[in-house]
Amino acid sequence: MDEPLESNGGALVGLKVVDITWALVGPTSTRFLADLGATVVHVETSGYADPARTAPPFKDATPGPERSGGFANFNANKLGLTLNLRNPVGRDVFLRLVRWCDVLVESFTPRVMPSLGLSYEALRVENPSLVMVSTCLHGQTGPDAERAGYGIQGAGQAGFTGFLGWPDRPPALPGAYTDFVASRMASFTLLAALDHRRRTGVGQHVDLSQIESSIHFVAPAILNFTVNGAVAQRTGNRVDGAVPHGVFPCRGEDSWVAIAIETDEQWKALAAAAGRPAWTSDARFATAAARAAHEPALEEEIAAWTRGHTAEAVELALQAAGAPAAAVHHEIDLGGDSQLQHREFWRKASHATLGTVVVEGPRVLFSRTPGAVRRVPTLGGDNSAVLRDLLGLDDAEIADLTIAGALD
Amino acid sequence: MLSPYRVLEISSDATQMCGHLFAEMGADVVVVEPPGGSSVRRRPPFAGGVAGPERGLWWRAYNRGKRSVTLDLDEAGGRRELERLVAGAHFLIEGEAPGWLAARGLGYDRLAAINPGIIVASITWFGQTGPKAHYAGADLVAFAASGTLSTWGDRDRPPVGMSIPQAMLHAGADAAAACMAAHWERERSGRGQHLDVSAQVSCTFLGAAHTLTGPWGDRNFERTGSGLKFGPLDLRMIYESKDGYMAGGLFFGSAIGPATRRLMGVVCAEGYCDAATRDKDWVAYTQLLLDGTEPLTELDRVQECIAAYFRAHTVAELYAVAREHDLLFSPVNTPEGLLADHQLEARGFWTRSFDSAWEAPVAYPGPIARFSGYGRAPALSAPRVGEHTAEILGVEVRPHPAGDESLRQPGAN
Repeated sequence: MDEPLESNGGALVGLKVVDITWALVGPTSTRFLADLGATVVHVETSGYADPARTAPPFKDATPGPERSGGFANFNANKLGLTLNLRNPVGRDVFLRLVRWCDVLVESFTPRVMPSLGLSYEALRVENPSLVMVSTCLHGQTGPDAERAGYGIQGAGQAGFTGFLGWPDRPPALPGAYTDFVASRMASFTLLAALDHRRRTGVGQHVDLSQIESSIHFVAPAILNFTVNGAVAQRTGNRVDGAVPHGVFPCRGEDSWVAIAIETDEQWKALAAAAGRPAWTSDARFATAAARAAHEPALEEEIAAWTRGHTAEAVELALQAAGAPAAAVHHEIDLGGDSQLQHREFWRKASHATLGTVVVEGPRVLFSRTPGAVRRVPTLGGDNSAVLRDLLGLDDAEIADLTIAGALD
Repeated sequence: MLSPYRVLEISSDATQMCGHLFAEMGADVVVVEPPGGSSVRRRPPFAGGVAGPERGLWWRAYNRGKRSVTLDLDEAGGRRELERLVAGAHFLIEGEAPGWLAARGLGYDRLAAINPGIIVASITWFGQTGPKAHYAGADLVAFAASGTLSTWGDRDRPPVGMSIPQAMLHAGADAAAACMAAHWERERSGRGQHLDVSAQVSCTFLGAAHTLTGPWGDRNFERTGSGLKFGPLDLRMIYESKDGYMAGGLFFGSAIGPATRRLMGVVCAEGYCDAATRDKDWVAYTQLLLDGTEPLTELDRVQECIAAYFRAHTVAELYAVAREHDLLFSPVNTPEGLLADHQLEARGFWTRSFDSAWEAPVAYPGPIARFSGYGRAPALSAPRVGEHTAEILGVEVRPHPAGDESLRQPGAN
């Protein structure tokens, strides 16, 4: 039976979070907290439901607002509440939540919350020690603060897209890359702000620009440009100083193995595992410098070997010899990875309309207070639990709210 | 903000991002290096292409604001010193192969016996235990094993990874968030715990839930290169300009279809398409294509009109147009473009300095977030090998004086 308010024994049991974000960054930053036992109320408006509900994969390849694996994955372990923030009664409920919570996370463009009368300054009156995280692409200030953008724009603007792809083709898309960096930064900074509050009693408005925080992941390239004038390159799968380094074809449709040889020892291991000891005495391949000078020829030789084997077989053979290699898993085949199974990467969660669904488990394993994955919220599915059990409203008050359209 | 906390970091490629994030928030981060210096110092590129322990750009980028102690953990004396440090520390970050510390008598159980409050984050390619725990790792290998690599690149070529290592940075960011969650719990229980971080798993996050494709019964996510695919629709999302590329493309539907209308207004005004093309029903366009009202060849033609317009302009010109007309396009920035970005400039994001040893200008990213009630001057330098050994081991052996009362460990000297 679904008991959404029952403690899951995780590290953050007792932490109270209001999440009015949508899509990926905000929701995943609070899912991290929910997995560890925080009580996270995810607020949507039925008239404009979370766009993550259109994110694949879908149950049995059939889209639907409650059939999205994306939404389930980004919001597992939370309580689902619908509220109309433009309705005065709904807004009043929201303020009750603000008084109740420790942390509020929002991801609108900067003018939205103030336009609703819900700026940090206004909310601080309700909850003087509130920690409020505002995250958007460009930050709360500056000439581009109001510019909307999705992951494609963010990844390009923060410098990542320029590092992906083949030299003879345009850059490739690395997905909504800045979303994934910013999500962790949001979790980390809000926990830091909470600790600061615990010590000082002082709340915080956290202004997290997804582009700014993500730029930390390309800091060495920034230095390489300023110090050495180096122009950022996309180099396919090759890298300076490690040869061979690439993705090689294996037996089967669209089947590949990644091989990254960084030392002479690993090179010898590769040659032995491939049954090609002659490679180590071949003048073209014997040293790192020679390999670099003959990289295309070397890649051809390796591909000729890998083509005859499955990716898993190549991975096993190379790893047994101590050479870094891994089959390039397709997303649909990831379940076959023994290491991910060992870490219980997939967890079952209860879902009001789909029964039991699978979501990803927490990425970091905690030895003593790991928490648990239990459930996925549905649109407004926890309205009663939130209003009655968290906010202490009685049935009459809840009926009044409903009639007033506060929960639409 | 985190200044009361001492973070010990047994320095490696795997630990530096986690330590960096703590240092950015003001924690007292102490890197523990072997006498010859951390292996990170040997990672190229180097300032001026000249190797040296203080010339590595990765070392500088991620170890600014930390202090350094040299210890030989292969020697009993070095291990005793580490234990003394652990007695007074709040976090220990390590990225050695599973079992490396335990083999030296420094496994989590031993460290917790010394300091029950210590939070240990172990960051490895595949995790502490399991069939692949002892695998040899690398950036490309972690991405391959995570499922994410298969989603990047063109369908007619192998999947392609990023040309700048990222996997351990993702793992480090996960570690930092997990450390702070464990810290929250420690404040009520007085006890630490062991956090197991896997780069393979951290990289799965970039698959945006496509890891669930199998269990949910959907079709595999295929890589689509520089565009997006919706059924039969191929939507370009990278457009070449005179001097680079822009990221963005055609969007439909009621929410963002209007952005396409504004884009086509510009494309038409510049003479790259006619009014009829400009005035297509962009809100309903997906449906029009899918039900055949609009032939797919028209979609290709429209995208070529856009491409021709973009090719005639520079990234700077196109970004100015995108800002003026509120278009869903952004530059595919190079580091040079990032340093010239007017939004980052307006926010004072960059710390620019001149490194006299390198005789070169340097630029560092600004804070990971802004706080209404906290700020910190940026750190400009990374420590020399063992620079702070005497001051930390000679004097500051006691539990950190600013630490919380609840962290006093029994039996500490």
